[in-house]
Amino acid sequence: MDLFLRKNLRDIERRPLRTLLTVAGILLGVAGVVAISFTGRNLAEAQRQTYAGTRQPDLTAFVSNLSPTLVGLIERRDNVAVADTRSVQFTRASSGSDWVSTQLIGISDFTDEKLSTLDLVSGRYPGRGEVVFDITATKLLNLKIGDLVALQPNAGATISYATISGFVRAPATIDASILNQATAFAPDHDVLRIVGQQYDNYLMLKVNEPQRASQTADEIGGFLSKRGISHGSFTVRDPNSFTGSSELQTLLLLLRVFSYVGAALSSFLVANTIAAVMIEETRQIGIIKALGGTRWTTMRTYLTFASIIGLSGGIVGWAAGLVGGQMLSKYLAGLSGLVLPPFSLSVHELLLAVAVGLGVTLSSAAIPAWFSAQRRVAQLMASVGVTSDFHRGLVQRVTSRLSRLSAMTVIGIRNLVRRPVRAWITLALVAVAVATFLATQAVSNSVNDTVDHLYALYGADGWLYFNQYLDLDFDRVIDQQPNVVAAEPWGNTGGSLGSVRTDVWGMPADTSIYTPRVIAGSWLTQANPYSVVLTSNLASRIDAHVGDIRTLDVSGTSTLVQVTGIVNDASTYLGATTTGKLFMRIEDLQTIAGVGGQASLFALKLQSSQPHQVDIELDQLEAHFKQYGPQTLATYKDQQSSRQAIDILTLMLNAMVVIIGVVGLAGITNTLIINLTERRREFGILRALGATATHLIRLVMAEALGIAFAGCVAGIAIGYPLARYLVHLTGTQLFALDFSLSLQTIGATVLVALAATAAISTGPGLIAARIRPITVLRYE
Amino acid sequence: MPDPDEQHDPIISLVDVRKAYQAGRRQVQALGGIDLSIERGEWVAILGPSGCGKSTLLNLLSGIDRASSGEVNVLGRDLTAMSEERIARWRGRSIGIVFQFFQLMPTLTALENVMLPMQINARGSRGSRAHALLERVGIADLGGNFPNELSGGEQQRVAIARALANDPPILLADEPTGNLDSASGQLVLRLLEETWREGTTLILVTHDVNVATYASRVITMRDGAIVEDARSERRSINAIAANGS
Ligand SMILES: Nc1ncnc2c1ncn2[C@@H]1O[C@H](COP(=O)(O)OP(=O)(O)O)[C@@H](O)[C@H]1O
Ligand SMILES: [Mg+2]
Repeated sequence: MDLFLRKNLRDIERRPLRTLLTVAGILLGVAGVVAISFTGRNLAEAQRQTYAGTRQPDLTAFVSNLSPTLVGLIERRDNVAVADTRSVQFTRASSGSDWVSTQLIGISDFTDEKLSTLDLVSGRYPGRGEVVFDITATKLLNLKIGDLVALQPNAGATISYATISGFVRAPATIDASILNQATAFAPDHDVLRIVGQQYDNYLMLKVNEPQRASQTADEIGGFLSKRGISHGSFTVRDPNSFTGSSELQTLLLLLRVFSYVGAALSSFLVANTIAAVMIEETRQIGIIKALGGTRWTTMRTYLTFASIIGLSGGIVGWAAGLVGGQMLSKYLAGLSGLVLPPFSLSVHELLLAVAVGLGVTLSSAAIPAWFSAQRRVAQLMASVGVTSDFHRGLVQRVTSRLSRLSAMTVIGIRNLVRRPVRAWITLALVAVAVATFLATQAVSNSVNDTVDHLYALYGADGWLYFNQYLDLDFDRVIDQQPNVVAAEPWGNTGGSLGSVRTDVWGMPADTSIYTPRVIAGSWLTQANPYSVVLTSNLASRIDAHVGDIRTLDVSGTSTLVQVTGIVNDASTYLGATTTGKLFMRIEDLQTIAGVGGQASLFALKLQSSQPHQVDIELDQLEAHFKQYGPQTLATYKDQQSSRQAIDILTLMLNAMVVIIGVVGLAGITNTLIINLTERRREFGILRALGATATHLIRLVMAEALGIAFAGCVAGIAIGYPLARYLVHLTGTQLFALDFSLSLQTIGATVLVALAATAAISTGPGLIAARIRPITVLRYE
Repeated sequence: MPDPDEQHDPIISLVDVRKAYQAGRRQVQALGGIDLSIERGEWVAILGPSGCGKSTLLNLLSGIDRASSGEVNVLGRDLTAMSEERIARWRGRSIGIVFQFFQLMPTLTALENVMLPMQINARGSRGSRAHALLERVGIADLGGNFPNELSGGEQQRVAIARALANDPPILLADEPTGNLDSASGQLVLRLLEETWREGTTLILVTHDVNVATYASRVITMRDGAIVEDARSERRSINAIAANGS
């Protein structure tokens, strides 16, 4: 065997802990990059497969009374390939305890669904009096096959019961725990009986040319309106912005950024270790050179050492990354209803692992190796490995005041400047870790605060729908209910401005429930053409300005409208496939929709916003207005589901932070251990002078805290711009975010970093305390 | 000359002390059955060729090392029965050590090095006492210097000042002059003598017969055993220096 290789292997054997820490650092870096890459590839593939499936509808809408004749007519229209229908009832289900809002879907033939087919997970498809639940519903309800569940459309309605015959998973639907809503499927006639209708109410269409889907939706909407068939707005499926896709994209983007940070951090670790090895072996390098070794011989020795570490870290990291990636993609795919392709290996990730593992280690080892190899033989041979020099400088002046208080602290801090390069590397490592931590906190704080702000714009505590139109001023009747503070007639439908689809909201111009944040022009007024207010994201998408006159298409009708104002409101709901919002007076919206002077949706502001209280109050309203076929929705549920989606983002970011934190701490530990091995003799002296374990731990801790503190300061300095950048990046993916990073967060970060550092430094401290003076003082 | 009023109770007593080292597969018997008793106020020189076990013996007395077997009793304590931590604390208070290679903390100034043991043992008035000690060893003006800015002799004087920081009843010195030129060596010996005169029990290891002659008792070792133990009329360092020897 090559003598140098043998030497390298012995070096690794000689310092197992240090080698282990370094390999662990590389492993984490590589695993992160591989896991993210794997997850990205896997999810992209899952998304492609799930949506390329011919079974996914391109257009969906609620349409009243879809008789077979009507469906036949729709199916024969231009660009329509397949039509299928369901009966959908929003109800609530209970398996004995709480009611959980549930979408009950009736299917006429479970063995022959034309669109949106189900996958049977367990049990069998339901017969009369039975239901199957989407498997994710088990996160909300305690369900088993054979259980009896109660179904009740609203508080006043009669309760019906059904037996669970199995569980299914509907592709491309969001996890029940995120939506806070369960999905159940039952035979069509059962559901129609509950709904009290003869025909299905939910239309699903597959089109021939998806790029014309939006146009087709408008045409069919017009066709239905002309025949006097009431219908909701069409949802146009966009394979690139499927439900939850923006959250997923954001997540992958952020994770990618973090995986690079992780890889960078591991390079610091390697550089540190190699530099320490070089210092320890200065004299050996001198001997090698004295024996005729060239600069290259020296370099080669240490680069081989680095390669061994890098390659082993890379390979193990690759494996760990695949495992982690598989787990991550399974989790994410499960949440968004994507069907994961079977596990597959790709050369890409293996190459990535080897490139990061080897690349990072070799490049970070090359620098110290080069510097050592440059030095002259005499210089190298004279070195005792550990220089006992200490020179005056700023640190000495600053710490001399301290020396009367604690010599251990002084020694610890002065030790830092003895190996400036190492101290800088460690400082950089801590700084990057702290900066990343801050940036992550900023992202999750900003997202959460923005969501809070957005919901604060909507003062509604609940919604009241009727299955019939009532007078616009029915709000006065609702107002008279004891717990209602304000009620307003609202309207919501889909529409488009040119080719851009948006969400159209109607509300009274003097609304007290919505708080517009007007950034240009003014709020709604009664005008001709109709006054509309756009959200800033919609305005910029269609390049609209205050005063512009545009054509608005709503339910097959084109109307001229004038932009009177632009508001800042970036709220989107999960699965939004439209851009921004358009607000107009409820009177104008209902006139366009052909139901002038009437409304079926009322926004409510209640006495209390407490979830429990809201539930009770909404139940009372449902019971009171029973004759109009009411349905209610509490906004807190909606908020919860948005927040849950955000929480997943935060959870992932936090997981990333934990990994980066671990790498940062590994860096400090690594440096402490290297410092320790270099200064064994000094610890021996202290021991001989009567220093106890506590003294030595204090010394090591002072050293660690010194680096950590400086690292925190630097980390805050680079963390702030990094946080700004990441929040901006997240904002472009998700929705416009208000930047938020509080002093408390910064303070807490510093405290956590220092506390963690203090905690881990006790390890090396104890190692120091175990050094026996006799072994280190014997020779010099 | 020992004071006649001095009590003659042993402050160090070793009974059948053995020490073996494991050097690879080989066992090295560094000390083989040492019996020794030293009384308060003695100046003992341990003399012998290199490798005979002098340092090993000294290290057992300070508790830096542990005996393989036998009794080690120092200042009324059974060191073989104490934990490493308790020995460390005890050593800080009771034993001053001067090493051949000075062993100063490189990151502390001379003054700070002297303050170090006081701090470890939580003693007050450190600054002024450290300054006084440096004055006593004659380098008060060098207190702000780091070890690498001092000569060997100066470093050893700092080391002596540091060994005396906590007023230890016993001072151990392992070849304190071994690394110094003869003038610096004389100075160091004179400082040690002064300390002894003030009542400190001094145990000095050397391979130099001349250095041993200043002691009141000379113990000669060979191959890990005591071969001679002689109380003698000690010579005064000053007298020798005056005679130009
Ligand atoms: N840690 C050790 N491992 C192995 N052998 C040792 C060790 N320490 C001392 N020895 C051996 O013990 C003997 C006595 O050493 P030492 O007490 O240092 O001698 P002296 O101080 O008289 O020169 C020597 O033979 C030496 O090689
Ligand atoms: Mg010796």
